[in-house]
Amino acid sequence: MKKLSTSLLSIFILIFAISCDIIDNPLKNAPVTPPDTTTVLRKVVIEDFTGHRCKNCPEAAKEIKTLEGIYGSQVIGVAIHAGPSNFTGVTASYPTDFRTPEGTAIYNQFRVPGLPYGMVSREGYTATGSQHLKAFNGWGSAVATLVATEATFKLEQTASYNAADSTVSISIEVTALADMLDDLMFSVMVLESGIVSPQLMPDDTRNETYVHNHVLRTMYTPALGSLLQPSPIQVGQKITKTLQGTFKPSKWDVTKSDIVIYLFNAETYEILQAEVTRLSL
Amino acid sequence: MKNILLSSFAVCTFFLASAQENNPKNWGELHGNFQFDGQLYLRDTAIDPSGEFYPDERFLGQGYANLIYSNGPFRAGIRYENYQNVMLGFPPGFRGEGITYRFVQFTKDGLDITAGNFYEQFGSGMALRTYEERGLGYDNMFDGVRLIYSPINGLRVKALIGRQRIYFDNSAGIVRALDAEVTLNDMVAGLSTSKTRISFGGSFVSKFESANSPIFNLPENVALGGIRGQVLRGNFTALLEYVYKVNDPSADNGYIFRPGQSLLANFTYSTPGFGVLLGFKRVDNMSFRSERDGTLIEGLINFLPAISKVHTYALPSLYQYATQLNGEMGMQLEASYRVPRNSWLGGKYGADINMNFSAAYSIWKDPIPKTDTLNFVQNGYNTQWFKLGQVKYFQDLNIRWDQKLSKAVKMTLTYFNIQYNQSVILDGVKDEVLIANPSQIKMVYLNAGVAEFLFKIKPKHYLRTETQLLLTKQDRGNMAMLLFEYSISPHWFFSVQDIYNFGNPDPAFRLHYPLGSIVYVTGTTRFAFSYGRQQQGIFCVGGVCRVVPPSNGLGISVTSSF
Repeated sequence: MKKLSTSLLSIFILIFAISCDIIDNPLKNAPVTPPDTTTVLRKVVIEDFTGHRCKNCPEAAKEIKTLEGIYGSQVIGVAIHAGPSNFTGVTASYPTDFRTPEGTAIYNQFRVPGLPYGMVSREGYTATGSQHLKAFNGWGSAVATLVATEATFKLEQTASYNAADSTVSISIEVTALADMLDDLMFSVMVLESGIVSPQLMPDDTRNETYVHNHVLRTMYTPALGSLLQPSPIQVGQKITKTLQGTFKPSKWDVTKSDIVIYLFNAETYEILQAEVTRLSL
Repeated sequence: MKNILLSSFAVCTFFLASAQENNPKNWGELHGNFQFDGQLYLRDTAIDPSGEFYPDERFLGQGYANLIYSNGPFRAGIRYENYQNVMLGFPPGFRGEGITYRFVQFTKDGLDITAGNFYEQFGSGMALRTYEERGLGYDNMFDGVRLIYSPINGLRVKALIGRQRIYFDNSAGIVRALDAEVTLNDMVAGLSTSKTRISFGGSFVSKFESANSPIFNLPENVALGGIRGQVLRGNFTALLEYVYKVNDPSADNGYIFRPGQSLLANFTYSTPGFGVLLGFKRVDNMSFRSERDGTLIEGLINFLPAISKVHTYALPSLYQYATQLNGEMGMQLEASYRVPRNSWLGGKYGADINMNFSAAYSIWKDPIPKTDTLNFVQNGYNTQWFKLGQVKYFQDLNIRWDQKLSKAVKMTLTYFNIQYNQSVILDGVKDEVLIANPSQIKMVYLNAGVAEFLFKIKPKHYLRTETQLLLTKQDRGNMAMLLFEYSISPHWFFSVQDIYNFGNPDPAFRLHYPLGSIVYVTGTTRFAFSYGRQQQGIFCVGGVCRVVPPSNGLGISVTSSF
């Protein structure tokens, strides 16, 4: 009996000791290694489902800012105001309607269960799964993994605004860096930053001068993208595309607006590469 | 998925064949149960003016079928589930169909082996508990292997490894766990006839999840250890359980590296006609999930038992307490007394009185400023073990009186006085925010009463009525409810009820919420048809808020078993 107790206790202590990481210094002090400029790395899109009446959503926006501070232009944040009107609807206290039909379509497609939630390049998406949805605290780890991977496509784009007819002209050149057996899709988004409008804050107060960034305003493709190139795609293959979209200068500030283009796999919806271009007058 | 299904059937067929070979008469037993729930949604502009919650599908249905085969020491089973699509109010992560549960289990040489899916609980569940609650869409079962062994009389050891279910996926994290439980009276021959029965146990649970944070040195292996003991003597029972968890930064706790602790103590005394229960609980940073960024109901490894009474009456249950994973101090006192027959209070048939009081507070927190970065990330806050916290979460005083008035009439009267911190329980506002801004606390103070009568009309015919009234100046304001249930045993059951939110501060929402249902039971099969309107709700867990949509529609439910 005594032997058995001792053995059991020893097993418990041994397993406890080896199955447990006790961290003395929780903060990483070393700076993130700058990317190797000779390799084309993936840019990562964080689609942040948010609402101006969602009290925890400013924390998610803060997380994007932190990650932008670490990874610079390798991280592209998109604030999609979508979901129940309890969090996104317009009231006298929250007068700006940030919702878009495209944002709502994306929200519904990816079965977002609540706010704030996000997707990091839509990695992990399956028709019945939920691995693609991440709370904002989890974005950092997902971003850290993806930004270190080599891109399978090189994406170059130009976007120019024509004030005379309020249109945006976009040209895209894609070079395949690896073979792909699925169709390649693309999406074009218009984002606006620097919008001052009320936001419900984590302490249940209303911040009248809150600055909303990366807000999805419209898309120049359908919400779930357009076909860019059918499969198979061979390494070295070049694909070009031009398109035009309407801009609403009376509603959106062109000097604070960006055009975001991302390429994704038609089967998995995973975003493979993305670029952002600031519009100007 | 098809492979899993085929494999399961192949295993069953093999064992059926083996059983027949060994003993032609022994085919084992096959049991199953089935449930389908569906609802045809009707557009209702009163509860959903813009139609945003009105589903495109109009009709949503979900269900499951379980098959369990057993033959001596061998058991195997599968469950098919379908959500086409998931009904309003359930987590939207459930979509699609497939075999979600399959297992084989057999006992050989005293070793109980389960491979596949299984549910498990250590002690009260504070260290580990997986279970299914279909009404909430909750299911955190394991997919892995479990061994249970009793090497000597009075000792049972459990070991398991697996991933937990998250909707139709398995979690990214892996759980490894060990538990040993000793029943001293069975182990030590001299104690087998003792009036005092003593049992104690220990648990160890560890999860692994890879990490790659650019900001934190995250632990990939997080362990939890727990001890527990129970003593029974005569009319007394004492139960004590303590668990300790090492650093586990997560979405729930805001990525602080503070260790977690939880203590649960329950003492009961009962004699015929009188019983008393005293409970105490202290929880500090004890959210424990397979995935550190899990939210809502996803991947919870442990279960922190509530220390308040669960109310079943519709109006008081709108203000039900939910355990706060990040920390709470709670106590409960319950006493029940049987008033003797033919006494002044008890009347001819006697009466039962039950009084329950429970309260929950935050733990005491001295917040550490975020400017003290390292200290903040390591500890989050400072606390004192036995000092009551600054924020009151919940308080409930309820008194129930059960009395048989005559051979044909039984009465139950219940009074509730509840204080409900909406900011914490529903909105998920952190303690630190409320400590700094106490004026932001949204507290609901309510009084409620329920009168329930059961009439025996004639043999096999019963009428049950409920009259409920809830009075509050906060939240949705006053409500009243009336319910009539008529049952003709054993086949028919008819019910109508209406909740009227006559005190809603917004006149547009002073609405009726009617619900009517007809149930027909034949053998082990039950058909239910209903029509009703459902109120909207919002709740927040782990920093994520979700709306339970309002709905109006015709429901159908079929259950059967064999």
